[in-house]
Amino acid sequence: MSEFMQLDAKAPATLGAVVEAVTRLSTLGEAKILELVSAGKITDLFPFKPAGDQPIPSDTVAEEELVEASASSLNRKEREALIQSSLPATAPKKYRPRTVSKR
Amino acid sequence: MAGRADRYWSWSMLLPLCHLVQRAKRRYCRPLVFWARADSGRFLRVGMLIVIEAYPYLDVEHPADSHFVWFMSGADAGLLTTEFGMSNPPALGRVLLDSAIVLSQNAGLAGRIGLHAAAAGEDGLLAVYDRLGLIRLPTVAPLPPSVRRPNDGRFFYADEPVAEGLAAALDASR
Repeated sequence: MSEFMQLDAKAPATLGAVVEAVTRLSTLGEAKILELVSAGKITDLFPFKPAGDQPIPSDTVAEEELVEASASSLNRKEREALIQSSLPATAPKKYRPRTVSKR
Repeated sequence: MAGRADRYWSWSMLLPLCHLVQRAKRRYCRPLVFWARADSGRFLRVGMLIVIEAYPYLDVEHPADSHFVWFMSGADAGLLTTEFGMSNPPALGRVLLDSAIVLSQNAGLAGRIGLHAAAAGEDGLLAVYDRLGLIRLPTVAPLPPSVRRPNDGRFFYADEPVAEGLAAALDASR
């Protein structure tokens, strides 16, 4: 569940609201969620709004810009990276000066 | 567009939703984007797929894991031709399903997949999955307990022979 902690607590949706929504949605079957999404009702249950400052990607790309997906299963590290990339950008970490090690 | 089940799907919202909901169930989603070459030589985004890995196989007579095709959407072939300059659009439904089957095979699940045809797609969507060669789960068939839904007759699956046949039919294009 560490992904939840990576969500920005204030925007685009509150962390608490998203956690509550995910907890609720995870009690539903996949087919039920599919129906809710297809009926345009998922925004009532999942208060997530993508950040508005994301640029709209181009409709087309050149072949060399494409990245081929692996046909094999991803390892744990790759899966975590995939999940993180779908979530809102995290706030920059506070700067902590490096200290010398104690001897 | 009005009759399409995916008319309200917002992928920027779906992606985190799918990841988080499945993570809460200790499963993983695998999202894929599909591109096809337009006549201009540039590639156009034409399809998207969200597969749940290691999902209970829908045929409870043969308990096993499979991949579940949760969200699958391909651009309309006519629109690709008239609006986006693609004179020879690919058979996207077939390609999207093939990708799920190959992922299942490579995960050691013998190509087994399952899906639920959204009710918003009405009878037309059932016909699409029939035409694609999937097996329709009989309405009287029980579902795996974790699916948590009555069988409404809109579940489809590919068993090992069907998956192998569908994959083999596209081998020449790989």
